[in-house]
Formats: sequence, structure tokens, C-alpha cells
Amino acid sequence: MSARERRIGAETPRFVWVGALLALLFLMLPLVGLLKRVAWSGVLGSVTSGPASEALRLSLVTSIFATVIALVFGLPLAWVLARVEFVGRSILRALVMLPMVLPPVVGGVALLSAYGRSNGLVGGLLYDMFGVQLTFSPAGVVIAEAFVALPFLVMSVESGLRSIDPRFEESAATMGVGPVRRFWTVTLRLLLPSLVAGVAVAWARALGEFGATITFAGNIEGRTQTTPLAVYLLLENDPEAAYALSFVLLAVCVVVLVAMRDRWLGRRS
Amino acid sequence: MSLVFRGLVRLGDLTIESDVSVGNEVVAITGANGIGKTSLLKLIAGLISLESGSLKMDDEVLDDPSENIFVPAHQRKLAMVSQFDDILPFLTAQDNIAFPLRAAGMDRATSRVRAIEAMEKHGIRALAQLKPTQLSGGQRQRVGLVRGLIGESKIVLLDEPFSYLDESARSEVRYWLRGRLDELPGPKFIVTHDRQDVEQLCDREIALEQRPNQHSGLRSVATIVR
Repeated sequence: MSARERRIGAETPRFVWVGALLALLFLMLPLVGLLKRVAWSGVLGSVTSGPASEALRLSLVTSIFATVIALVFGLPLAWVLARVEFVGRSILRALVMLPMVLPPVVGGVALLSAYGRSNGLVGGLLYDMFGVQLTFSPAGVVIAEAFVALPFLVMSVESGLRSIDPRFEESAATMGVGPVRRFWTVTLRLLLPSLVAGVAVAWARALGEFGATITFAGNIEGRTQTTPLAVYLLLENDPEAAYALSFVLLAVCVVVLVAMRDRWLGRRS
Repeated sequence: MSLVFRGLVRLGDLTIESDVSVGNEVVAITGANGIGKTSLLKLIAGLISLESGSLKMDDEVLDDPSENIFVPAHQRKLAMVSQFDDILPFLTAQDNIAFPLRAAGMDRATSRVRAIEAMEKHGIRALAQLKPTQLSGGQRQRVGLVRGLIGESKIVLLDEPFSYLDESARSEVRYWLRGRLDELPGPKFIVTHDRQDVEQLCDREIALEQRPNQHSGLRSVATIVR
């Protein structure tokens, strides 16, 4: 039996309850609507045939590539931001986080101005020297997705690195463990929860990418038309398939969220 | 083997000065809280670098800012036990103790056997398969001691190694430590508040004392008291 605490601040005024309930309703109603519109008997058929299945396959492949790029380049960047002291670090961090708040379509325009074949900063060079064209290609989809996903990974990993107590790495050093081995056997292992969370969020963001993708890579069926683009188009011609695909994306996000609940819903031991 | 340490470092408000020479012996480091005992160990370990002066082990310079020499901690052949709980949380007690042996290049199987033998000797074999979260503070400190002293080393640095142990455990572990320290070469330092540690384990004593400072802040000076 525990005594009931009467903390100041724990007495909730009625208007707070009303506001909270309205906010909840606002968030949940569209999801309920979506679930209600899904034609359950036809979901499997809708997502395994025609443009829908093409889009799902493309989304899966490109989002995985984009996540790998975000991981391979985001981890070193997070390390530098978290552990190297230099002038202008906070400005650099703000720049790295910019794609998180930038309208994705602006990101797409920016990507065009850098990697566009005819008038991009390096796009022409890439084409002339290596014959690589990113625009209107699946590789362009990967670039657009990685561009928006990378900051999410960097943010999660950087805060993870900052929260590691230096005593573990210090004591490893005093035990004769050099910097490289220390990274693989101590730092990375302590970082694992943040790394997994960062990868999951980056992947979910890449999977849902719309604006930058359609602007930079276009909307070519079977080539650059990812699932979110397909949903948008199918809504007119084949709403049943659009709802089925939406449900698949929703389900994936729920799975990611449930897997990450300990980190993201504040349930930490 | 002897360690010669003449130098100075400023850490925030605290200035630590040292002028000591230590041979093949066990030396207590004593002094009030916050006076810089742990920092002194970290300087010898290479976790902090000197601002001026030098730190030498026999003929090898470990730290000398005027010569731009600094040997990093992992190359100093240390046996160090921190006062803080630094048992790796993702490894069992046994794998924690095997960790420095693995780092020295020993294969996994041999290192695990050696770790078990060392735990047996210390009387904590029963803890081998437990994770750090399943251990008490005192048990973790014992694991840390066995881990810190399992390898070959040139310098031993122990920072309040018995702080989580109760009185009976303390005398038992002190006895074990006396034996282990006799086996190891080189200078050995123990930071402690306990006079019994100083009397039963140590040959000499270095006291950190505060001296008046011409500037603001604290100036701690390490001097040999016996």
C-alpha cells in the first residue's frame, strides 16, 4: 500500500483534459478512417500486382540503399560533431540538420541544382566522366531518400555518442586497447541502441519520402515511382489499391515505432 | 625500474604540482577530497597530459610538452583500477576480466581460462557468468580489481580500490592484493583514505597538500612524506 501523493502540478484542470482529448481525436480520426476504407479481402491482391507491387519493390530496395548510405556516412559525421572540438561546430550541426526542417520539394530542387545532368554543379561532370545520370533513375531516388534520411541518423547517433560515459573508453585505454579496437569493442557496442534507433528512423523517413523524390528523380512507373508516389496517383484511378498501399506503409511505421518504443516513448529502465 | 615525475598541470581552479621519484615500491597517495589524487593518477596513466615538466619511466619519456612527447595511455603498459564503476555493462564478469588479455592479443579460449583462474584465486568464481547489473557494488569492485591486475604491467595505479567493500571483505581483499602486488614489477600507486591500507600495503606515502597560491584557486603539491 502506498500513500497517494498529492503533488503540486499533478492536479489537472478540466480544460487541459478537453484539449488533450481533442488533440488525440485529431490524430486518431484519420487513421481510423484509413483503416475503415481498406478493402481487407483485396489488400493482398492490390499490393502484389501491377504498379503497386512495382512501387513497393522499388521502395524497399531504394530505402535500404539510402539507409546504408546514411549509416556509412552519418556515423563518421556524428562522431565529428559529437567528439571533435572546432570553431563553427554548432553552425555545422545546424547545417547538417537543415534537411530535417527543409520542405522536401526544396530539397529536391537543391539536389537538381547540384546533380542535375544539364545544369547541376557536378551533375554534368558525373555524366561526362562516368556516364552517370542520377535524375530520373533509381539511383536518383536513393540520393533523394538519403538526403532527407541522413540527418535523422546523425541526430540519433550524435546524442548517443554524447551520452556514453567516457570512463568506459578511458579504462579500455588503460588496459592497452588502442583507438581502433576501442571503437569496435567498446564505443560501438555502447552506441548500439542509439544506432539501431537512428537506422530505424532514417529508414522510415526514406521509405516515406515524396517531395524530394518526385522533384529530383521524377515519377516513372517501375523506375522511380516509389510507394508514396504510387499512392498519390492511384488515389484517382484505383482508390482501393491506394488504400491498400497506405495501409502497408502505416503497418511498417507501427512496427518500427513498437520496436523503438523504449527509446521513443520514454520508457527507459 | 623507477618513475620520475616533475611537472605541473592546471585543471580549472586546481593546480597540481609534483616532484616525486618512485622505484620498485608501493606508494600511498593521500590527501583531502578534491585535492587532485585521481588527477595525479590520470597524469601518470596518460588520460591527462602535463602542461609543463616531464614524466619519465626509466629512460623512456612518457610525457614532456617541451619536447612534444606524449605516449598515449594504451601504450603505457598500465594496470589501472578506477574508483568509478567501469565494468563493461554488456559483458559477463568473466569476459570483463578476459578483456585486457584479449586486447593484448591472447586468443579467446585461453583468455577465458585465465580469467576463470584469476577469479578462482580471488574467490569470486561464482560470479563468472553474471552480468554487471546482477552484481553488487562490492562485487563489481572485486571484478574490476581482478581485471585491472590480470595482465603484465609496468606501472600499477589503484584509485580507492576498496571503497565499496565492507570491513571484513576489505581485509580479505587487502591480503589478496598484497600478494598480487608482490608479483608485479615497477612502481605502484594506491589512492586511499584508509590508514590501514597505508600501513599494511604501502612502503611509502605521497601526500597532496594545499599551498598558498599567488593567483586565485587551489594549488596542490605532491610531496613525499616518508
